[in-house]
Amino acid sequence: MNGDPRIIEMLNESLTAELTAVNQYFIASKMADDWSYSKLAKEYYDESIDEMKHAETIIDRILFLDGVPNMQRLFPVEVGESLIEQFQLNYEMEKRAVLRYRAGSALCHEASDPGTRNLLEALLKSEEHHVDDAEAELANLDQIGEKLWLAKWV
Amino acid sequence: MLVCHCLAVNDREVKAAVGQGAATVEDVINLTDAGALCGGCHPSICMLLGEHSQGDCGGDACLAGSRVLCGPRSSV
Repeated sequence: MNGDPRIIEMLNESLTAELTAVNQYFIASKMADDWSYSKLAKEYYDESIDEMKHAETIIDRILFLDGVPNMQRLFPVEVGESLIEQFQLNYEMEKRAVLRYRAGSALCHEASDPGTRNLLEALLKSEEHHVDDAEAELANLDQIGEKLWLAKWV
Repeated sequence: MLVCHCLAVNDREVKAAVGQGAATVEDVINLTDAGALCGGCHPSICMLLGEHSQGDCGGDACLAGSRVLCGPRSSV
């Protein structure tokens, strides 16, 4: 089915962001594991797989719209040098994802493409969850302090 | 944050180079080695250059004249 080129371009930008997130969470998971924070490593690992599943739904939609999924483009993969810096960088990435999907949803409305909008809204809800969880954790970090916060991820 | 993954150069080192007067990606390469190999971090360096940026990272936003919200070049 022939899709609106603006929608395909927006989906490809979302795909770039999801593929970037797969890598960013994956390296964060491996580094956390290397530093013996196995609980956080597991969380990041699962999030990396979640982002890969998001990428899959976007790829399927681009192909359905007769577009070409761009698999070779990434945004900068932001690798923190400490657990807390990684956590903050991942939080910033999730906030950007929420803004991107909100703008994408508005574009779908403008281009009369409710099918793509439904897909984006499902992804948006998942990213909003990630943002909400991260905000709770950062509030927790502020309340209990760095050492206690780090201890719960060992 | 690690900026250059090839040569393990972080954002603090790049910011220090900017503080020493680096104004282009080339200057940052000369002062820190960041960006000297694959070039994948040039947009990140450009963002750290901020208002000092000469718009030479090759990213879409740079090519469009915006030096603030740079990103990777589209492969269209």
